[in-house]
Amino acid sequence: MKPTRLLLTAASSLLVSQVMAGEAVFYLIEDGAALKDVTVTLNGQKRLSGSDGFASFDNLPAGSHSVVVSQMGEQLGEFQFDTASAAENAEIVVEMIGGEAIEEVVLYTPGQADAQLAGKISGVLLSDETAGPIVGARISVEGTEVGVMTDADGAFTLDLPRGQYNLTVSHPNYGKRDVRNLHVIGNNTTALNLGMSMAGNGSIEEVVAVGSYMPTTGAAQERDSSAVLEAIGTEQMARFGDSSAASALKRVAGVSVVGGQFAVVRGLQGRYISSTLNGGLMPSTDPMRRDVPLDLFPAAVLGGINIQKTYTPDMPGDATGGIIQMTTKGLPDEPVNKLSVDMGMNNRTTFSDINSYEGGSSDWLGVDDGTREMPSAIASNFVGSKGLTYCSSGSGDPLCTYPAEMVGMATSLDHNYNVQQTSAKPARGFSYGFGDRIESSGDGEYGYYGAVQYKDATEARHDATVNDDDRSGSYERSKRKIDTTAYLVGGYETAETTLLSKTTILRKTDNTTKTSSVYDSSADQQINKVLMQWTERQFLGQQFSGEHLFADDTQQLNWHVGVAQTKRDEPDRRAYSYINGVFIPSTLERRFSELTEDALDAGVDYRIETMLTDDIGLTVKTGLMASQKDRTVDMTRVGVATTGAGLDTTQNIEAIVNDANFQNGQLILANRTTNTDSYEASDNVTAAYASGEVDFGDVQVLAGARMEDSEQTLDYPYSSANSNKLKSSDVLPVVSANWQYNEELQLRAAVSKTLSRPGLTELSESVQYDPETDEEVYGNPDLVISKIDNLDLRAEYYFSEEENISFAVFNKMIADPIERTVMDASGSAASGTTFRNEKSADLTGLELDFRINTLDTDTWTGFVSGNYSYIDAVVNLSDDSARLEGKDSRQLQGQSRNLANFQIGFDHLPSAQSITLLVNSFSDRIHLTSRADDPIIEDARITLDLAYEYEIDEQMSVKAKAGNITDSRVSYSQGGSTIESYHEGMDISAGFSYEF
Amino acid sequence: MEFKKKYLVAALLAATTASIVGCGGSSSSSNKDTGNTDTDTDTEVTYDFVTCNSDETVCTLEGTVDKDYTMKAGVEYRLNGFVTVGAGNVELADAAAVTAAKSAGVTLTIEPGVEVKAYNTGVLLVTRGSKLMAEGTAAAPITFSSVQDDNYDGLGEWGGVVIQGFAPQYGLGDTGVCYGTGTVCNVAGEGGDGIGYFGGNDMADNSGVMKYVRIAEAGKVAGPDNEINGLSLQGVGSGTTIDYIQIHNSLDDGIEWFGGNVNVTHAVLTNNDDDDIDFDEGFQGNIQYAIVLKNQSATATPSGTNDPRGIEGNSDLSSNKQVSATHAALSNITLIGGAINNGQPAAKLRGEVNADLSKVVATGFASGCLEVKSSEATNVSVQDMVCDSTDALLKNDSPATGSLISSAAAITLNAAGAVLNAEAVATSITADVTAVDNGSDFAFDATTYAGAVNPNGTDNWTSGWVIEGSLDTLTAVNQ
Repeated sequence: MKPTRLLLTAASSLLVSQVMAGEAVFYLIEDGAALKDVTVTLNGQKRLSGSDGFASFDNLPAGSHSVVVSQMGEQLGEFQFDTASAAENAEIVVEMIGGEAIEEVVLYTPGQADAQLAGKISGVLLSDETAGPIVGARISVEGTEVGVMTDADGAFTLDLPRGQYNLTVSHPNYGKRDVRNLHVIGNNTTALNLGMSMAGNGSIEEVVAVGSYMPTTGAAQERDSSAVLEAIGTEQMARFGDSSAASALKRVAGVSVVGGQFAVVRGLQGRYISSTLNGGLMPSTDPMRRDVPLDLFPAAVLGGINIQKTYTPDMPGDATGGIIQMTTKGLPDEPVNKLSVDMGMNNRTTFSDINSYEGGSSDWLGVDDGTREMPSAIASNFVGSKGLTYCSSGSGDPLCTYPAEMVGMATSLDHNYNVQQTSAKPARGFSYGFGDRIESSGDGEYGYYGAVQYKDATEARHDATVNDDDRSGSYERSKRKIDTTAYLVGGYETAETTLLSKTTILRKTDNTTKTSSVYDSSADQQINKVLMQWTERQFLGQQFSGEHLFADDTQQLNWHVGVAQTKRDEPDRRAYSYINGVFIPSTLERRFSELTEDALDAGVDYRIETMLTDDIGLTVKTGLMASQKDRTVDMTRVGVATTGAGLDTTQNIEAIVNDANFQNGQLILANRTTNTDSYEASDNVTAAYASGEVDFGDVQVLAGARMEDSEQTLDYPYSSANSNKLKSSDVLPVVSANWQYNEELQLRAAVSKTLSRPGLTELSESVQYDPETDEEVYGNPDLVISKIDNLDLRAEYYFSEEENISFAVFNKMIADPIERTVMDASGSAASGTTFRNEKSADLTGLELDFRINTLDTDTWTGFVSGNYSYIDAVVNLSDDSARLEGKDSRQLQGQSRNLANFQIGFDHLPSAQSITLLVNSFSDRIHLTSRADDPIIEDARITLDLAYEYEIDEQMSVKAKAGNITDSRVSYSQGGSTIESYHEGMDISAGFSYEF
Repeated sequence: MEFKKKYLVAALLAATTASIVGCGGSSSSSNKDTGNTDTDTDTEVTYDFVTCNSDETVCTLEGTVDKDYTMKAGVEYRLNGFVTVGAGNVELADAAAVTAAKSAGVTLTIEPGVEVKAYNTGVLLVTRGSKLMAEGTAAAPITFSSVQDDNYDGLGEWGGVVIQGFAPQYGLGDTGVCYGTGTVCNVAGEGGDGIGYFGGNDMADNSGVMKYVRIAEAGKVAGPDNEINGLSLQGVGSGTTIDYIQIHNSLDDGIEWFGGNVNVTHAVLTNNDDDDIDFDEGFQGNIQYAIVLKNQSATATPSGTNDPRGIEGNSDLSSNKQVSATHAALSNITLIGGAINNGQPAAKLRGEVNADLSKVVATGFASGCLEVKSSEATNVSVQDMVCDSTDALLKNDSPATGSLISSAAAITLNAAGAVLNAEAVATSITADVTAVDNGSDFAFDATTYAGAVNPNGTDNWTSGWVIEGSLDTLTAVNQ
């Protein structure tokens, strides 16, 4: 160790943390290291030494004092000392030598010359993730100009006058941590070994969207993991301004995000990816999918995200491409009380006129005030697809609806259909976090942290055009997005035990208004469509978890139990069309839909480490998991029909569809609900696993298996289609090996089996309508579970702790891959799609990942990092798919062949400023397949972001971000010609936070 | 939400029986119909799909017709939801399953004069392997309409009649016949979530007989952008007979052929909101004697997402989705358009379709009599096709063979629908027209007039059986 020393000369500048008069400070050490949990009894009063080895007593009167030192009831020593006055302080170093306490008492009076006697704080800063040293962290003494940097071993030494101090440790990647109430006693060195986590659990980040992926921390975690792992911490999300899990994930090698919501890992879409929140499986809010929309999780509550790309037995069996493990924030290390405010502008959208419509009075909260609620008269009459047979005369037929009832139902609806233009407001938001850690009388600490967050932003598509076959035109789409979050974690921690309770409420409301104007040259029709859509998504979760260490930390038991509910509420979605200036009654649809998914999840994991010989270690992991998810989808579609030719349908819609025209019998309501719009589904998984890892020193070999039982069911309450069940029991083995060739080079290999289950509605015996596109989706009850053989090879080379390059090659052979594809269908059904087990898919990919420091001085650091992946994913089509698509094989859906990320960053350490340039790019990927035609492609795109952060002082910090700087056109094409394109504009945002 | 379909049905049945009382003295909620007997056994046969009132004057059909059944004259029948004849609309795995489906087929017989009134959800679906025997007479035609009111004036008040067969269907983009290199087809049909699958390799398949049948007020919206046609013929084979058929006030097409080989003669297509004669997906067949009369109101506009034409061949899709196997021959057709056809021609043939039009008369289509685009490689021939002099003859390009004749005077008609203009009875008219060979030995009647009805008055085939008043506006055309 070569500690950096800095002798404090300006002792007089110490204004804070002066030692109180009449204090006795005990410092307990053994072999130069602090001793904790030693009982010091002073005049009958007991104190336990803390983890820093100190125990202190206030209000020491003048006179003789008796001291007993004991541990676990065993007396180690006893002695006495005298103080002459109540102003005199005592510093007592108790050193344990051969199990006996040897004391050294120094008395002094504050304000006198001997009080200036100096001591030291010395120690090592280690990473929680890697247990390796953290280099280049700045350690400063609160209220002084004093500061040192940790050296290559993470070591540091501070020379300070005796007293009590607060230290701040900061590192560009690990964030900041405060250490409070540290004692320095004369002529002594206070040992301080600190750990820091890249998850940044010491500080609370506001929601300013500047997060990005920092390979250095990923590498740090990876190095210690037996699987190929990437990691993103809050500090990284904050630094690069990523506001949600979805935006942060796209920084990771081999990961892309589709539609701002769903991750594609290593060329594999949602069905091959698993996600967990705090270790539990998550419910989804999308009616057609099983995977989780990641934009639901704001950076404000996330503690970190790991993306593990190779399979290990403790992961869900469907984590083929990878598993996205999201962790919400844990207990704070220090008191937190922080408020942040944000403002944002879009150069195209803000203050320009965008589409909107009359909503409710609490829209700004993201909560509908009842304006869009389905009237009870509608709810009670529109049961499933039970037709609304209008019988203009007679009575008594229960299958008929008579005129008075019809008018009652129709007039219970608000007939509000017109689109207005409003000026788009700037984005704005705030977040507030508070928390603390309280030492208890026992050996543990209590802590809590709560956060609330609100954000209101508007996004719009500009210059949006469509040009598909005979149809060409333009559309305008605006979306107001309101996010609200509340989060509370509370818990108890000791060195061996952690108990946490986490309560999460996430809400995300989108209010979309879209108008399109398209000319169909083949039918010679001008088609104008309107869509108004209000979607509230909500995640409510309560989780309890515990971590217990036993037997000198060689055994660990982790458990978690959670309940969660997701909801997607879409009240009164309104859509209608005019063709050639004439309102078409059959196109008006008012849809009320609600999805609720209840999830119950529990798991327990046990780890035991033992030495087989002096050199060979064995780690055994085993665990159980159970998850139960129940989903209910209820949907009602309300339409209108004319009863005669009396209406002038060239008028404005509100002059046609209104109470008067229902009352005078010109219009009637129609039930447009289909039998399969509503469904109930369940998805239950139970699993058990065991694995053993043998550590030969330079080589670790892991072998294990997971057994997974699953059962999924689907029922349509209003359809005669049979209920549907898929049961399966699978064993998934894994073998992997790591070889540390030397300090710098590490090689890894893994072979595993995984699986992929059909989506909940994909097994349906019936046809459903896609809620987004209204196209028919035919289920396939014959679908079987896909089985995947995975092979991963990886080499990692570490130039230094922060600099590395890694190269990975992988291959995945998927038997019976499920693809969404075209089908034998007729008429309007021909635009529908189905799901089919294709013959096989073969993915081969390489990934390159690096981080290099460009600058490393006491004041400046800089880095360049990036990743690139090339993935060739070919699916060999089944006979039916080959016949219908007109080819035997093609690229896997949603998969870009090339994905690249690049980041350049600089930090000015003294002023705590950082700036980062981020580049993200993907190549063409298949959006949808077509029958005997080229597939629809989402065209390659590059986005560029610039993020800036400035910590003005201990209390204040400023963040700014320019997002989507080049504002590249988002486009979709087919056969080389663009069929849809638009711009989203450049976002500029700034945030300010203040810590009280 | 453990609210299952079964309970719903039970609740509805209970409600129905509470007010109407179940028929036949059967103690259960399932019902027998003493008019129908099973010849194989002496035991009383129950028909779970029928519920009647106490005096058996009104019977409601619902669910799957799983055994032979006859709808009797004098009873008013109602259709509630999909009334599915047989169970051939499931996916059939192999040839053995096809054979089994054929032998498991049932026959629904409708006696002459029966009135069938459908609730809003009502659809009559005859699945492959099963038969509909609906043989009315000119004096006692069979009628389908809605329960909404007693007239036939509504539009889209119920679903419609869908016939499915084992005849071939051809996919978009010339991806070939539905059975590919095998023998089995499972083509998802248009019409919503109860339709299921049709198709096969049997061109001569027989789905029964429809004769003197009138279908009114059909075309309910079956799903987003999806309306059921008055009569949908999905893979129906040439063994089927469809003769003397009227589709009136359909919110969608009159008759649409989705592949198949069934010939149709004597069709009256009145006041339909979309196309009247619509064929695609490899339909190979012949149509003789059809009269199309659109809404004659000067302010009429479509009520559905429709672009109404008299004849449409091939679907309204881009040229790279064409189906070259489609081949129809049409003779003696009268097409009378109106304001509702704004922008649309009398006949539109799209993409690589084969169509032979002979003795066709069109009037009232301001934007043109015939639309083809040579760029789409259409293969259309016309012969003795007369268009109103006040209408444009062509929208876009000329047909591959033949040319259109412009009438000297505006087209006028008599009450039976015969064209009175001189061009319609010109001596140059070719009597013999070649039929499409679809294996049915169909031959066109040799006629020496253009249009659907012989002007010499010897065969006023529209008289007597069509919906009263539905052809009243004929004589007002161009008068």
